[in-house]
Amino acid sequence: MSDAELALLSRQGDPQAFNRLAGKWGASLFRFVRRMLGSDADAEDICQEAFLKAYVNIRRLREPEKFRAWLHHIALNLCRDWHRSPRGRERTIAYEEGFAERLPRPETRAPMAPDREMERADLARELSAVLDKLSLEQRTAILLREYQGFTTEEIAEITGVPAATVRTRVFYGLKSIRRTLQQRGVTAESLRGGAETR
Amino acid sequence: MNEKPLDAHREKMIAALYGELSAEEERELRELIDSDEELLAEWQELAEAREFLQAAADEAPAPSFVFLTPPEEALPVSATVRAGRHARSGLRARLGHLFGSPAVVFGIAACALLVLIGAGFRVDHTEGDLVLGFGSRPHPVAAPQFTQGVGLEPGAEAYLTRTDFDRFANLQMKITAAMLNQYEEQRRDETLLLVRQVSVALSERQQRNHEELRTQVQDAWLRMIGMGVLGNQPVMRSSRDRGTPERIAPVSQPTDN
Repeated sequence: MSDAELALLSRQGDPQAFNRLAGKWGASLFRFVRRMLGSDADAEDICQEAFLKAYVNIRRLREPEKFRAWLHHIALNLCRDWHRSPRGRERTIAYEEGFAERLPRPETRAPMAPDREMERADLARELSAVLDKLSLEQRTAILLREYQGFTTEEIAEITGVPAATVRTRVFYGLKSIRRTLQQRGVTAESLRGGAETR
Repeated sequence: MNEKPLDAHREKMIAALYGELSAEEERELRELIDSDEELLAEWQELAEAREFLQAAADEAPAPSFVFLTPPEEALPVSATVRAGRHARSGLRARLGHLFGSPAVVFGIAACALLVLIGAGFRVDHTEGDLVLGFGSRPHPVAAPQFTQGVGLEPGAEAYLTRTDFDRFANLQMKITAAMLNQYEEQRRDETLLLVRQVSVALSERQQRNHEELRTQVQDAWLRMIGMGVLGNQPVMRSSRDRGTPERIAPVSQPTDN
């Protein structure tokens, strides 16, 4: 069944239809929120709340085929609230002061480990570091475009800004990522070398 | 954050990066990039950043968000409540269609305000109170004069302010105090009269007692004379009896020869 059909059934009060939607998009939403917040526990809480809000307000969803975008819109608003909360600010400071220092320095950095798990851990660490350097708007646009697979127009709808603004955010965000990677000594060759070992 | 808006070429670069251009547009962009070193360098930067993001994509396990039992507040609402909600949302939709944008609503509100002002709507600030009303401002009413707690003067009933009330209360207090004083004086006069009456009564009673005592003394005296106890000693009489002296025969004294 498509999202639209499941959303329509949910609107009619069928909890199982909503459960199917949650099962279909839960993991994807969780990964998005985790990258937005940098915390597994908080991401789980936010996702839980986002699904609850979606279930309670599903009758207000006018276009059921846009359920996934609507769900991300709810989660994004919760992420923004979280970043404005004392806990979010504390977490951001902790990232800036502690997380980056714990990462290996470029000059002392060991080459990518051949072991796949180690390599994945290295990449995840680098990803956290580069995402941490982005503004919340740039991070949102890039994560929605790159990992969630939304089109520019869908991202514009989710974030409530024009499509041109979304492209601008993605453009400057990608350039910032490239700059951070250079500062950390991650080159295209090292990435391709790591990929070849897989 | 101060991000300069992108020019058309860079916007197309982003679109091309994510496959949002048609084949023709992509070919044109490719030719442009190949002919411009700056664009080529930027294109490579963007592509490398994307390459990293793709390489760092993970499929970490995620928790399940399936509701085993629907939360209580999320259960389907009753038909009545739903009908009410639909009615409200329907009304909102109709109003939205009727009025359109917020600018139109604002315009309508401004027109309504102008009509109200034209009709004489006013807000008066009278002695600390805000009074809403229509028409021209009323003429100020002379401060009401209160006498003996009668109340407001005729014509002043429209404005009973706090000051009026204070004046009214003060006047009532003065009247009450005056009545109390008057009552006190009346009570005092009554007391004085009573004291005077008692005093007169006592005085009369004393006079009566005095007369009775004098009569008793006189009777006793006469009895003593009659018995010859006093002899020829002068008789002490009261001043009342002094005009008719009574000679008392002297008592003969016994001799020793």
